[in-house]
Amino acid sequence: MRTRDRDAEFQDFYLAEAPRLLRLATMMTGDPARAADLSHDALIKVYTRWHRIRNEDPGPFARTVLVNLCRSAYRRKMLELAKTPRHSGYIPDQSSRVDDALRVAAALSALSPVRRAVVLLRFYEDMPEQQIAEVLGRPLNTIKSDLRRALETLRPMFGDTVRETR
Amino acid sequence: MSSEDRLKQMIGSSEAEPRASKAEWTDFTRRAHGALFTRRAATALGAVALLGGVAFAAVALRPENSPAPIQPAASSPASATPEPTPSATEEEVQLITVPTAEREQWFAQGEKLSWGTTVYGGRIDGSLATDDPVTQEAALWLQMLVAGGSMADQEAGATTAIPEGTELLHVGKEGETLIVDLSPEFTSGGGSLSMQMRLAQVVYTGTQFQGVESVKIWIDGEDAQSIGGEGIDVSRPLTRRDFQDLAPNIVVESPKVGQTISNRDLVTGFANVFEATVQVRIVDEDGTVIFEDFTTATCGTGCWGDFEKQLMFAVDHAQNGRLEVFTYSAKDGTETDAVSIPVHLAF
Repeated sequence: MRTRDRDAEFQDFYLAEAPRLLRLATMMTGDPARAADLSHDALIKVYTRWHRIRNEDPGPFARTVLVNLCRSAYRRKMLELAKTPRHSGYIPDQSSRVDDALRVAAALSALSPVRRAVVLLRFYEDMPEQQIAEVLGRPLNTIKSDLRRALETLRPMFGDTVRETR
Repeated sequence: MSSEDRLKQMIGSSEAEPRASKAEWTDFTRRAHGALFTRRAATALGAVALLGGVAFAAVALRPENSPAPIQPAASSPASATPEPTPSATEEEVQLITVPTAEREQWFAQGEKLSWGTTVYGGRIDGSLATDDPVTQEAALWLQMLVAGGSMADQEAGATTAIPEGTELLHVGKEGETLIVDLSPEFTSGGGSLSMQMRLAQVVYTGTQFQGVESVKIWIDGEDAQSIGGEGIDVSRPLTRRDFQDLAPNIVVESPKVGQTISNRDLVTGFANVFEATVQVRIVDEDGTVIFEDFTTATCGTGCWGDFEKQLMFAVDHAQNGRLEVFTYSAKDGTETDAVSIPVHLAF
């Protein structure tokens, strides 16, 4: 596949999906700068494998890559990530949207990365549970229990966050 | 409102995101192309890391509209480590270093072959070539060729007819014939022009090396007899002359790149130029022209002819130089169809 054809096909995917992947990564990591790197890396991986995946829906593959990258980054930087999200050095063009995303990230920080991913894929990406299971490579029943436990974990702190945003 | 609904409300929907801007896309492609080239090269090179610091090119003269030199992936920021292939672990692979040198890469431009030169070197998997510096060097450069061109080439309009996914399997040599074994992807897709072009790219890139006059194509470990739906005959070794229809207007067959040339050596090749007049000159390491003369091909102005010219020059010490072969445009007298070959000038 020639690069020019690849670009032509990939462009539409990029324009629609790049902001979503960035926001997903921001909510996953709570770190806008790292989220930008991770979503960029994920898009590069999708781009270089485009000839193999373009005939299927590339969206779920991109999520799989991104979630795996976020989880690896979490493992590498666990201590650092446990701290308050860093804002320095990042100039968002939509500061309120980014702040929203960081608020979500803070709210979800009580969850393990994989449960955070389950919650975000379910409620941000609006994915059916079966597809989440495929994207994360986990059994469907595990996804169901992940969701249930995530909601249980969030319930007490949750009301506060909602009031805060009103 | 249930906790689930509140959670949904807080998180928002991905549908609400604006589209990315064109500027972001442009920035992305710049980095993605580097990553793509590295990935192709990494696939071709197996577990071998590219050596750095070689991404500069020195081409004094190139054919009109010829591609900009290839920028090897070593300079790409997005790509420090090529992914190792499962079959090639560091323990198994014996790496061979190919010295850095300026060599030609042949691409397609429209329906013609075109070339650029790059200064490049690196390491290859030792199992890819026989124990011979020429086959090893050819393997490095052919690997880069089948891995595809770079952004710079594509911006200059150069394309490759070699299908993506083609891998170099082995390079050997019998007499003056380079034996190039390619994976079956090489024969996939494309019409007869594309088949001719991809063969020509391999033959021209392969025959630039010293002691190589022809290339015998093998596919997937077998001596190939014909390739493509229309069955292009590849049963015998192919030379640069087999692709005259695709060739640029001047093709030099001798000397080869990097060859040492001495006073009274011959430059030979074939050309299809106005009034069959072929200009030959030698430029020394300082850029001074130390020989310039013309010769007449056996045919010209619309037909291919052979040319031959004896070089007459003297240098006060052995040094690098360039042999330049070109013609003067019938239209405006400018130098055109230029070929520039890096050579060593013997004292």
